[in-house]
Amino acid sequence: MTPERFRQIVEAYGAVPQRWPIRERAAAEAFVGQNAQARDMLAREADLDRLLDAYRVTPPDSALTGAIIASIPSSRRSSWTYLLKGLGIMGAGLAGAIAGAFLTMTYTPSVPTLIDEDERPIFTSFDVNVSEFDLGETQ
Amino acid sequence: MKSNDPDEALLERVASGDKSAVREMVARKLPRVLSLANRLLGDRGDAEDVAQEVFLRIWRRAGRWQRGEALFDTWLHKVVLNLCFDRLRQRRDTYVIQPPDRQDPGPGPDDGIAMREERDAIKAAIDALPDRQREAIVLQYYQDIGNIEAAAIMGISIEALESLLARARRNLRTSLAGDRS
Repeated sequence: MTPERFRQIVEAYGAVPQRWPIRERAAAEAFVGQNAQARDMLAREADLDRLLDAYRVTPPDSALTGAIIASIPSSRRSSWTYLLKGLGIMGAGLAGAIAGAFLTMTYTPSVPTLIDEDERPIFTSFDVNVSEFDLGETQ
Repeated sequence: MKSNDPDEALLERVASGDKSAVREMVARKLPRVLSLANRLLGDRGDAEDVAQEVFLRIWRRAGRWQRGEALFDTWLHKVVLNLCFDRLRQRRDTYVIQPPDRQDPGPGPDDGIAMREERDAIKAAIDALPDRQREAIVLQYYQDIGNIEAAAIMGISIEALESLLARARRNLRTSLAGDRS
């Protein structure tokens, strides 16, 4: 453990060894035992840790838990169900558009997309690099 | 082969349509999901909306889960992160600065003014961090996620994660020192 690496670890992960990278933890802890400056650095980071600990979030209450459970559909519809329903509505929209063509008014129905992004088969194992959003570069 | 994912058996039950498994999944994961979304968004109402969306996604996708190298919990954190990022982007797109809809109540009335002030100060400092620094510190510090997993969730290297964490802590220290002076 070099002084520079110890500084990087503590500045990134704070003063509690349990939060340090597991592979370097023992070496970093041994470094603290031999170095007074390292202990000063730890004390400074421990002050920030104590402040961070003050930011507690109220745990979920039973109303939220119940609302979430109630929002889950009672039966699972397959992607085919969504697809068929989507096609049905698209068909109805198309029929309406054709009928509308015989009228002087032009009517263009918007076709809802019932196959939402969640229905895409992305679960071919978990790929953390697949993001639905561009999270950008590091800041 | 036996899975090392502690959530996999429960996920299989959710996939089979077992409503009791859904309740168990909500009980097991909601506190962490809400804690993450609350700290990323700084708004309780938005965080609860995200939590609801997350569990709908679990329900919809559970049947297509395939055992991989990453844990279900890692995927879960990634989904929360993406949903929160989307909400933050929508907020910015409105170009209107509004106070959050609903603050987290935080400590109760018996917890003392000093404790509440301290909590409000650290919350404000975390809210003011750049998005990626806030994500890094919330994942690593508050969600107690290891560095390898946190870097994977954020899609960055461990070195980049450490850089974000160090900058986040430096900014927090500066911001909180300013509050005290």
